[in-house]
Amino acid sequence: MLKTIDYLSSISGIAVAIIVFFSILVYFISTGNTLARLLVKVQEASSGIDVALSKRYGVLKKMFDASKGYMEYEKFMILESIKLRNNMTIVEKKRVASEMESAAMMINSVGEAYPQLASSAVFVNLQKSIADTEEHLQAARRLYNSNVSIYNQKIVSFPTSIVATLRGFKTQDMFTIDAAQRDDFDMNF
Amino acid sequence: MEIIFIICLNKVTQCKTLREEATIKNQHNSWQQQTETKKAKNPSNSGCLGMFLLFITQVILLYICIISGIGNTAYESFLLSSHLDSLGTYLESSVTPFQLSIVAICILLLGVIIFLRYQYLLHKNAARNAIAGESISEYDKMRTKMFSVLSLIKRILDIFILFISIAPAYFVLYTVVYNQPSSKGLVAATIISFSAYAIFFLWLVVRGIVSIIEATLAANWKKNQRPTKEQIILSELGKMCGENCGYDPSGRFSADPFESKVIRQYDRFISNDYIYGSYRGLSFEQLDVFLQDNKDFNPNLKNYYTFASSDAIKKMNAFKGRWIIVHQLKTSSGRFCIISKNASDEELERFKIIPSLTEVFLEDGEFNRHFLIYAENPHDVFYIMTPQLIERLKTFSDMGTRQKDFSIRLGFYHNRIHLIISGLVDAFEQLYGAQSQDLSATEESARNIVRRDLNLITDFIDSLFAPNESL
Repeated sequence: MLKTIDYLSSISGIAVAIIVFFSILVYFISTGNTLARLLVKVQEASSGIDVALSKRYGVLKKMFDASKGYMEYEKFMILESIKLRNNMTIVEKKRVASEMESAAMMINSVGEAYPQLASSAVFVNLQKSIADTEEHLQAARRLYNSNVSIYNQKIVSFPTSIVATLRGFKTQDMFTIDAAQRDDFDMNF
Repeated sequence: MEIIFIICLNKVTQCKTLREEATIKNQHNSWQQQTETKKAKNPSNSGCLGMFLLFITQVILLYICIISGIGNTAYESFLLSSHLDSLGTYLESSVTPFQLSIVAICILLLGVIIFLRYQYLLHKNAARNAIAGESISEYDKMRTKMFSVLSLIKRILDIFILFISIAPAYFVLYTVVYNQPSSKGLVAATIISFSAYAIFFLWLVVRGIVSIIEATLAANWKKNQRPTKEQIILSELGKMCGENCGYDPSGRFSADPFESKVIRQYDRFISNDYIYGSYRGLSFEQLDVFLQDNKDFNPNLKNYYTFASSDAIKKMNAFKGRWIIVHQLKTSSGRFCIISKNASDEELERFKIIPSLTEVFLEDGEFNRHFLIYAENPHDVFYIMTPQLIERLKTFSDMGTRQKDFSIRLGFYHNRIHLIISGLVDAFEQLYGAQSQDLSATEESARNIVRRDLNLITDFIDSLFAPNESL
């Protein structure tokens, strides 16, 4: 009788251990998948920033072409110095966005200096387009930051942080534009 | 013939005066009750019809007198002319005087009934306005009294003419039934005949003078009367939008609003108070809507707009709210819907089963706690929903914290933003509740109500113009 009880208790102990193990395994997998999904969302949002940046770059180029005859060669070359490439880090994207912002401000100042340029229909339309691309860039930035915020909150909170550490998930940088960095470009022009 | 012409002319004037009188009284009715007054039968129509029938009766009775030879030479001397001979001969050959007189009496009675109904309707309208707490100034009260006195004079004159019309009819009937003329009737008819021209002339002059006095009073009164609900709304809308605006109490949206899927399509779509216009270059439309399924429809409860209680709406399983559509400048091919979490479970669950929509979270935690967002492309939500617009929706949400059935829906589809707020009092609805004895104060308070309701639209559109950057 005692043997039977011992046998049953050992069996139940093993069963509990198996259940706990599988529960942990399921939690580990599901949490890992959740974090992976969130990371994909972050990456999608990051590529949204790329799209917005390239769209903005295209419009800026058209604006520079339209005002070619009104600005000095050095200023004209500023746009050429902005390098857009695939797989940019967030830091690089921030820098490119700031450069574009400064280029847009410069082109507007050229428009203010030359009323005949500012009054041309092409220039006015391009100004509207540049404002719209700015809206899209801001939307992409906010979407990215929102996804990064949700993702970062998840991986720093316990017990998800354990899974995140084991699976190698790291916090992501927010996309913020420094006002100081923008001012630097203004000074240069 | 001249008398008939004069009668015709006078009756036309009389009908016109009656219509004017009724219109003035309608305008005098509180503009707060105008919609209800519209629904009531227009008393001016009854008045005009009644007077027209009385006129027809008078003409027929005169003809009966002529073709029956009653009144002998008296009537014939000044009524019979060559133009009437052919008609007289026709009537003499085809209709007996008895038949004609019966028809005349019937028309006369009908005319009297309709005339009395006209008086009753005027009285009923006045009583309803009194119950509704109609607010009129001392100036208006004085004018109302003067109108009443003038109306009384006109009624006395009309009854006098009515008596003149009936007297020959009585004589005709007596003669036909007893086959001999009544001596009294003959005397009466003769006296009336001899004095008819003078009586009609006198009646015409007095009635004309009364009508002129009444018209003068009405013109002066019109200058001082309060503007109608429509006038106030259009005036305030004009200040907001310029010329490009309009108000139609029974209008509808220019396009199918359910395409946005921001709210499910109910079987019954009842709406009122349609306004449209353009503010800061963005065109907008607004409707007060009442939505209900046929299975929940109760035909006994028809007055949808009087439900102030959200409980009543819930019991009816219906939706009631303000629906604003703004044609956005920002273009996007996607669709998204935002709904406050205090909406019904059925509404909240509905978005989950639309396969093209996925749940999106904005960067504002407080907003995410109060609203659910579903979008085809999350980028569209962040593109349209600027931080200022998010703040505005939160402000709108705070407006209805005490209201049980309060909920906000915002949808974007085909470059149009749909804002639906349920649980609020309908637009311009509070105009009906204003009560004040002072005319100017009432108008000013009405304008304030309209301005406040229109501000909901302007505030919303202003927030759409805010740049897409963090606050």
